[in-house]
Amino acid sequence: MKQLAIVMGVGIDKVPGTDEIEVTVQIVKPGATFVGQEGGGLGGSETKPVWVASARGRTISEAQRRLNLKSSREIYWAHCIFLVLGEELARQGVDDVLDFFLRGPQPREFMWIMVARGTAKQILTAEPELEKIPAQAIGFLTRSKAGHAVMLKDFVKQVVTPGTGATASLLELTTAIEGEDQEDGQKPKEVKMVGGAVFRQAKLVGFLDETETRGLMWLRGEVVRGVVTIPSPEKKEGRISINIYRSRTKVIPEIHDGMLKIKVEIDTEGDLAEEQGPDDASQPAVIEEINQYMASQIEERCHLALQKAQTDLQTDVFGFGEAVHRRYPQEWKLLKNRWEDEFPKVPVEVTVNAQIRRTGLMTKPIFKKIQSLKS
Amino acid sequence: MKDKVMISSVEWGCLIANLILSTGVLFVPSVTAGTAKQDAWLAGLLATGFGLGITLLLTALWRRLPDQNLIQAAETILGKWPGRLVSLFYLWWLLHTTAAISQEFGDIVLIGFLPETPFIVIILVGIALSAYAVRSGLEVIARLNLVFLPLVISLLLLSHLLVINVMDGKNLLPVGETSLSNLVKGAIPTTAWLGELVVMWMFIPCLNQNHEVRTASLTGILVTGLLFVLTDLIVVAVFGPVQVASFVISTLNAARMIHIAASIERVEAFTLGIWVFGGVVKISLFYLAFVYGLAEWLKLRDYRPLVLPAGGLIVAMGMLNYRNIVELFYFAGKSWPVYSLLTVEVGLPVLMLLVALGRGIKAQPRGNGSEGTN
Repeated sequence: MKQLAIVMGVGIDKVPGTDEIEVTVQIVKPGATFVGQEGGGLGGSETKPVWVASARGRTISEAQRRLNLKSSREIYWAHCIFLVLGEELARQGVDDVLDFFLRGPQPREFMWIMVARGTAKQILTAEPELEKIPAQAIGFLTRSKAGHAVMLKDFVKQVVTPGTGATASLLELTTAIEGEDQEDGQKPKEVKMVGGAVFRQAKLVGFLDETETRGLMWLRGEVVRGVVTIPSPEKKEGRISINIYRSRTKVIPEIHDGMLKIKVEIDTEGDLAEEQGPDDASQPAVIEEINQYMASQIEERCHLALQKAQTDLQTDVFGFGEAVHRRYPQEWKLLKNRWEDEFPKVPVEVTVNAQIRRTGLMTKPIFKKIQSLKS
Repeated sequence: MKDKVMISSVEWGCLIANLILSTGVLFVPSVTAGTAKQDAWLAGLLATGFGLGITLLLTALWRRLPDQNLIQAAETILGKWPGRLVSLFYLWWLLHTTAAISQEFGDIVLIGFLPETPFIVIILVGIALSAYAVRSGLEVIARLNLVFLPLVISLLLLSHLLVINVMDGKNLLPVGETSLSNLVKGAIPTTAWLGELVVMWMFIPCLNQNHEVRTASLTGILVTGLLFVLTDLIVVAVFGPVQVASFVISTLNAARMIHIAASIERVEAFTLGIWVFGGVVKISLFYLAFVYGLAEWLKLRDYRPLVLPAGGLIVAMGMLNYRNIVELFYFAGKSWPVYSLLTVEVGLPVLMLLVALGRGIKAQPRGNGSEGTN
C-alpha cells in the first residue's frame, strides 16, 4: 500500500504526427486523505490532493513504464474510476488502447468510459471543486443518471456486437458559473457531461447533443431520472416541468411481408415538479392533457435522436439490430451483413404512454387567481 | 493392498461434486460460449445429460465389481496382462491430469492475484498441502470436503447473487439459435469435466453402502452439472457471449464486476476461495487416486511411501509440461476433453462393460467381504 500510486482517472490522447499515445493519469497524493476530511477546519490546504502526470509511448504499458521513471511509487490501476479518450484518438479507433484495460488484472471493467471534446489531458488537469479529488468529481457525474453513462464492459459489448454502434459519454470543460469565462476571463476548470459520443466499429463518427442524448437514453430504456418540460396546454408561453422517476422501454421489431418495422413502446411515470401556467392541476382532465403533451415531448426527443442516428451518423446506437436478432433469429442471418445499409431506412414508430402520478405539495397553481384578476 | 478406509454415500456424492466443480466452474462459461454463444447454458444442460449417461455407464461397472478398484477390476474383466496395460494407461492419465490441474492452480493464482510470486512457491505449497491430505487418506479428505464443499458452493452462489445488478437478460436471447452440432461441440469440454467421475473408481471398495453408489453418483453429477448451467447463465448474462468467449477465467471476470453501494466491491477473492478450497480437494483426490492405483499396480502393501516421490513428480511435471498458459489451456480446452472422453472416461469403460457382459459378470447388489452393512 505504501508503495502504490493509486490512479483515480486516466486519459489517453493521440500524439499528433507520431504513432505514439500520451497517457495522463491522476494519482492520489499519499496522505491526501488526511488533509482536512471535510474541508474548512484547519485553514484548508493549499496543495492539491492529486498528482497529475503524463507520459508517451506506443502502447499504454510503454507509457506506464515511462511514468514509473518519474513516479516514486508503482502505478496501480485497481481504483481507477473512469477512462477518458481524446477526440482525435477516438476518431482513429479506440480498440487498440482498450485491450490493456481488459487484459490486466488491476483495472475493472465497470470503470466509466468517456470521450473528451478536445484532449483527454484537459479533462484530467481540470480542477472541479465540488470534490476533494477531481477524478471523483468527474466519475460521480454518472451517479445522477442525468447524463449518458457507459461502463467499459458494456461499451466493449456494443463494439463487438455486429451491427450495433457503441456510445460513450461526452465531456467538455466549462465553468461553474455560466458565462464566467467570457466575462471575467476565468479559465474553465469544471467538467460537464454534454452528450454522447457515437462509435461505429470502435471509431468515433459523431456526437449527440444533450437533447439527442436524452432521446437515445429513452430509446435504449436507460432514463431513470430526469425532467421533461412542456408548454402549458392552456397558456402557450408558460411551461410545466415533470420529474421522471420511472420509465420502461420496449423495442419490438416486426416483419410483415418481408418489410421490417421497429415499434418502440415507452411507458413512463412522473411527478409534477413545476408549473408556470394557469392550468388547474386538481382537474383529472387537465392532468390527462398534460400527459398527452408530455408523451409528445418525449416522442419528439426520440425522433431527434433517431434522425441523427439514421440520417447523419447511419449507426445503430439503439441496438435495434440486436432486437431483431432476438426476435427473428432466422431473418437476422440474412439481414446481419447488410444491416448498416438497412438501418438508415428502417421505419421506427415510437409510442409513449406518459402518466403523472402525483402533483407535489400543491394542487392548482396559487398565482392563477392573481393573473386572472389582472386580465 | 489392504485398507479399512470407509466413506459414506453422502461423502461420496460430495467428493464427486467438488472433484469436478472446483476447476470446471471457473472455465466452463468461456469454453462453452466459444461455440454455443448465448446458448451456452443449453450446451451445459446437454453436457449434464451426457454426464448422467457416463455415470450410468460407470456405475454399471461398479455394481458388477463393488469390491475392486480400477486396477483390480481391469484385471478381472480383461485378464491379467491386457488389464495391467489398461490400468497403466489410467495411471498415466491420472498423473498427467494431476500435473495439469496443479499447473492451472498455480497459473490462476498468478494471473488474478499474486502476479509477482514465483510459480514454484505456489505449486509447492499447493502440492505439499495435498500430499499431507493424501498421506492422511481418503477418510480425512472426505471429511474435509464436507466442510469445503458447502464453502465452495456458497461462495459461488454468493458471487452469482451479488452480480445481479449488472446482468442483462437480453444477452441470453435469442434462445436456441445455435445449431445442434455446435451445441454438442460446446458441450464436449463440460462433459469431459463431468467424466472426471472415473477417478472415483479407485475408491469404490471404500464406499460402505455399495448399493447406493448409483444414486449418490447421479446426485453428485446432477448438482454439479446444474451449477455449471447456472454459471453459464449468469456469466453470459453479465458480459454477452462474445466477451465471455475471450476470457481466460470467466467466473473471475464476473466476480470482478461486483460493486454494490460503493462498499461491497473488489471481492474477487471469492473466486480465489472457490479455487483454493475446491482445488485442494480436487488435486488431493487425483493425487490419491494415482498413488493408490500405482501401489495396487505394483502390489505394494501401503501407498504411503509413494506419496512424496509422486508429489515431486507432479511438481516437476506441473512446471515443465507446458511452457506457457496458452499451451496449457489449448491442451485443457481442446485436446484433453476429446482425449479423455475417447479413452479413460467413455471409450475404455464401454470396452470393459462389453467384455464384462460377454463374460457374464453380473451386478452384485451388496458388497461381500467388506463390512458394508444393510
